[in-house]
Order: sequence, then C-alpha cells, then structure tokens
Amino acid sequence: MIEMLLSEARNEKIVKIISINASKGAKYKLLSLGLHPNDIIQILSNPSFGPLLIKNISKDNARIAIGRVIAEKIQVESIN
Amino acid sequence: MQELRLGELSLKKSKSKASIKTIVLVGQPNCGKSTLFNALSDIKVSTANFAGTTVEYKDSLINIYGQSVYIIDLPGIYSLTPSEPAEYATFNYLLNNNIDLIINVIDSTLITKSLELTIELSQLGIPIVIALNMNDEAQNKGIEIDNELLSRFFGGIPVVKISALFRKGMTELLNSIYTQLFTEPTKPVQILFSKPIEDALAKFSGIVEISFSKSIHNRFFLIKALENEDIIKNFVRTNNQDLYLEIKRNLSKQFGLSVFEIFTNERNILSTKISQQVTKHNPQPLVPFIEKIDLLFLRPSTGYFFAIIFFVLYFTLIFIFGGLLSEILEKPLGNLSILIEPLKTTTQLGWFVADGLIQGLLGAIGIVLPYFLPLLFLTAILEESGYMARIAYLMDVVFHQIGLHGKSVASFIMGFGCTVPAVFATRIIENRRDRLLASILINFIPCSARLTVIFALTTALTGPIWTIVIFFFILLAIASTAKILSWFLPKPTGLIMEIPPLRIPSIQIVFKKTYFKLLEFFKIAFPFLLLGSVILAILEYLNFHYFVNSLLSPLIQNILGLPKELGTALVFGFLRKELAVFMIARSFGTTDLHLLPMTITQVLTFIVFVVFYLPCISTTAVFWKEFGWKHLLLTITIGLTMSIISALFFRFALTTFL
Repeated sequence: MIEMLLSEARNEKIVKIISINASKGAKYKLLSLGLHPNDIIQILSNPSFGPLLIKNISKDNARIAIGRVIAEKIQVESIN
Repeated sequence: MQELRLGELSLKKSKSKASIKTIVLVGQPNCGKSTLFNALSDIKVSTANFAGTTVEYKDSLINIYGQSVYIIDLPGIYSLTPSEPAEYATFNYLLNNNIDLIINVIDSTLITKSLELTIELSQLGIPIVIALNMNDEAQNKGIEIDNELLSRFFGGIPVVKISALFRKGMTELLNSIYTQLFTEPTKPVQILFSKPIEDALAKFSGIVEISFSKSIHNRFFLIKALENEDIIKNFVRTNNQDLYLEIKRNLSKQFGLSVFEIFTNERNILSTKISQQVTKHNPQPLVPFIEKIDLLFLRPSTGYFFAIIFFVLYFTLIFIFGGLLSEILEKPLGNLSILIEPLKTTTQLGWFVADGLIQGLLGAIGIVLPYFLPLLFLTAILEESGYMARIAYLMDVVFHQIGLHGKSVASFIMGFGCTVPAVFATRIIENRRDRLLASILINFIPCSARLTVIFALTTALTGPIWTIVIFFFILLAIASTAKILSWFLPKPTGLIMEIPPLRIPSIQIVFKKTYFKLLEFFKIAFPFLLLGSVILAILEYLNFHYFVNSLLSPLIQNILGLPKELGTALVFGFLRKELAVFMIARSFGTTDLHLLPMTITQVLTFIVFVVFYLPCISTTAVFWKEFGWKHLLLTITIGLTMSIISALFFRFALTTFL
C-alpha cells in the first residue's frame, strides 16, 4: 500500500481515499457530491496543469472534476 | 378511471389557490428534473422569483384525474446543506412553504449518491414519491433497481421507474402522486443513524426549543442543529448551550471527525447499504462507446482540439443564422419609418419620438435578437448535452490563472450574446467572491452590441487586422483586470464540479430553455432599449447634443484626442452600446460610415473606450438588482478606469508607431 496525494496519482490508477484535508467549504462540496473517505476512485485524467478528473467507483462511477490545489490536500492509497 | 389529461390548465387558479395542493420537484442537478416538469406541465408554465432573491423557479397548474395541482420545479440541490445561491433558494422554499408532496427525482444511473439526498428529504416528514428517472439509461448500463424493496426502506412511499425524456412510466407516476395527495398519504419512515448519534439526538431533544409553524418534522431540526446549525439558527433555540456544545464535542471525540462529517458519513453508509441491496448490476454488454469518446473530449491532450472545432462551428453557426435573421427582420422594420414620414411635417416632436421607437425596435430586433437567438439555442444544446461541463473542465486552467474557476465558463460564453443573461448565469457560482469577479469581467466581454460597434467601425474605416488587434487587446484587458482584482480579493477556492454524462439533448427542453432566456431578455433589457431610444430622440429634438458635446469636450478632446462631436455618441452608447455607431454617423451628418472624418488612431481609441467605459443601461439595472449599488459603483469605476487607460494606450501607442 503506497500512500500519496491525489494530485500525484497517475492516469487510470485506482486508489482509495484516506482523508480529505481541504478547506471546510471544499470539503462540504466534495462530501455533498458523494465523495467520501474510504471511497474507491479511478483517476481518469491527471494532466500536468489544471484540474483532475476522477471516477468514483464506490458511487455509481460518478465523475467529478477536482481542482489541483484541492487534490493536493486529498490523501489516497493505491490498491492496484 | 378518468381520462388522463396532463397539463390541462384550470382557470380557477387564483380563486381557489388556498385549497390547491402543492407538489415540489426536488433532485440533484442533472437528474432530469426539468424534463419531468416539462412532461408534467405541457401547456402553461410561468416563471417567478423567489422572494428576496432573483433565483427563478418554474411553476404550473396541472390536472391530475380532475384535481388541480400546483407543481413547482425547484433548482437542483446536492444536499440539504446548501452552498450555492440556487441551492439556498430550494432549501428555503422547502422550509418556508406548505408542501403536500415532494417528488424526489433521481438519476437511476447515480442512485447511490442520490439516496443521500433522499435520506435527508425523508427527515423532513413530508410525503414523498421517488421517481427513478432515466431508467432506460440505467438498464443500458446493466443497472437493475428493485423499486419495491427501495420503497420498503422508506416505509412504503411510492417508488416509480420512469423515463421523463421518453414519457415512460408517467401513468404510474401520476397514480402514485394522486394516491399520495388525495387518498392515503404515506410519510417516509425515519431512517435511524448509528446508536451514538441517536443517543446524542435524544439527549439534545431534551434541551431544545423548536419554533416552527409548518409541518416539518422536529427530527430534521435536531439533526441540522447538530450538523450545521448556521443554516437553521432562526428556528432552533437551546436552553442549555453548555450541554449542547458538550453533546457535539462528545460526538466528535467518539468518531474522530467533525460533527458535519459524522452526519455526511452516516448518510453515505446508509445510502451505500440501501443501494447495494436494491440494485443488481448485470454484466455490462460492452464498455459504452460514448464513454471512450467522452474521455477524448475531457483529456486536455485531445480535448482542446475538439473544443476548438466545436467553438469554430458554434460561432460560425451563430454568425450565419444571425446574418440571415438580421436580413429578414431588418427590412420590414426599416420600412416602418416610411409610415411615420407624414409626421415629419406636422408634429416634429411626434416624429422624433416615433422615429426613436422605430430605431429602438430596429436595434433590439434587427441587430441584437438575430445573433442572440441562435446563441441561446446553441448554448442550450451545449448545456443540455453536458458538453458545457467538458468546456468548463478544460477551461479551468485558463480561468484559474485569472482567479476564477471553470464553472464561470457558461456565463462568459453567454456574454458574447448579451451581458444581461450572462450576469444571471453567474448564479451557479457558489461563492460570492467568484461571482463578483466573474460579473465584473463579463462586462468586458464583447456582447452583440459591442461586437456591432467593433465590426461596423473597423470594417468601414480600418480593416480586419485591427479587428483582431482589438480582440486580443480585450482578452488582455480581461486577464489583467482579473489579475489585479484578485490581489484584493481572497484566494479562489478551486474547482469542484460534477461532470454529468454526455446525453442526447431533448429538443423540447432546448426550445423551452431558449424561450425562457429570450423572455427574460425581453422583460429586462427590451424596455430599456426602447426607452433609451425614445429619450435619445427627444434629446435630439431639444438639440441637447450641443450641451453634451461641450460638457464632455475636456474628456473627449483633451484626454482621448477625439473630435468633440463624439460626446453625444458616448452618452447614447450608455443607453445602447450599438447606438454609439449610429450616433457618430449622425453627429457628422452622414449615414455612410466610410465618410467619417476620423483617423485610424481616433477610430480605435473610440472603439476601446466604448467597449469598456460603462455597462449599458439594461446591464446597470440588472447589476443593481442582482448585487446592490456598491457592487454597481465598483463595476462602473473599474470600467471607466480601464476605458481611459486603454484609450490613452491606443492613442499614444498608435501615434508613435503609425
């Protein structure tokens, strides 16, 4: 199990969310979009600049765009 | 059973409104709520504003088996912890009105995360019908939902599978609505949280006073008071603040999370558990082709390429259809002036007023509308298909540089048509700082009126290269204004946005959306355009321009280096930007723009000044209404500063290099 920041996870990688340490507002927003700790997600796009795109495998494969600054505050661990 | 008559309007709405039952449609954004509303209310729809806000909702009176029912489409909401203005509107509506039935619309393909909202709605204690929308799409994805089992989880409330787009399952839905309203309403059962939380709620209920008259369950207030007391503090009072804080502290310690997270986490666990039991995932026949295509749209390596193609197509179509429409509409309107010709000799003032009115119509219908209509239509397609969300995702990098995020994209695009609806479109931006910045910048986007000024003058007097120079200059001005403003504003929050699946847009919804946006434009901007035009005509009759020209000459002659005759053009440009062009021509007593006695430098200086200097009168009114006078003053100050700096830059840069 390798722990890393969401912003460091490469395309196609499947990871589990350990913790969300973003600002209160950002955290509320992520939670209300159904992204919670322990969710399994897949990174669909992690370009060098700009926001990431993830697919929440635990929640109906819903896709969420997450700004890079916020992704830098989300701790994940790889599971494949 | 009586014949089913959807959408039949009862004419007695106002007479017996008190006894008419109220249904609200509630669901997460992109769940197809509007499509369902559309299917339920085919004929008569009106829009109204929420009290104290400008967020709109749609309502309609429909007829279900002979009973008139008032139905309201509330803005999409992710959870009952609102964060955007539109979400607050829904939240407040739910709390402050007598509601007989909630139709909870769910995108069946996203059932797990949607159930989190359903759990919250069930806490309100209002009868619910769950409409599992897009059932066809779910089946294509191999998702089978056991609606009867789902119903049992919530105490037997009706759960109906529908496809609003294809009008499937509508009879069943109407039957359930009828039962819930008129025979035996089933309220949802309260789904219990884990024991420590239920204990805390029980303890808390002993020290709390809930002052609330409507029929909302007390449990909802207890939960919200612990979870996020800010949003309901008017209704809940505790007589033991210390114990209240202690209960919260203990919960936090027990779970190792903040109280807010504890509750979202509980709902997450509950909804996942329910969803796992009620859904069956059949092996998918094949990886959907459209998802592969979608990744090409979304990944920057290929996404920008497609985005450019789409936008070239988008603007070309607007340009072609706009040109065609303009040609069709302008002629008959132009002929109107022949009708008033006799007035010219009899009543001079009458002729001026009538001519002003015609010129106003010509400007609004002949120039603005033709380009605005295809823009609205194509933008609605972009939004409904979900492609706009892809653009927002891709453009976030650029917008981040200017202190905003991708969510503002839609309003910026709208800005090319008319600033007024663009300002309204900023309502989806959750935080006030971003909204403020976006709305100020939208004022610099060349709207169809500004485009008229730019195209008309550059084509006639300077040549197309200068059109491009002007466009680049505007982009630069927007970027630098944003950069400077973001020094004074708090840091941006960053993008968090759901990317809805790509869907084939419902043509009906696209038409309705276009229609409502157009109606909004006619209600808000149109009267000002006509009024402005008439005032202009009267002022002209009174020879007002001599006064204006000499009053403004220090600015115009000394600072901008322009002929002083342009003073009136600037004043009238405030009423309607494109009037500035007509007025220049008029000031010099010609109708042929080629003959204007102005140098290239003067023309370009004038253009940049007009683009930035003041929002038009309609925009000013909307800013006032939407943000208040302080924000309006700020916007005007920034615009004036920018216009003078830009004009001076052009004046001196060009006189040096040309």
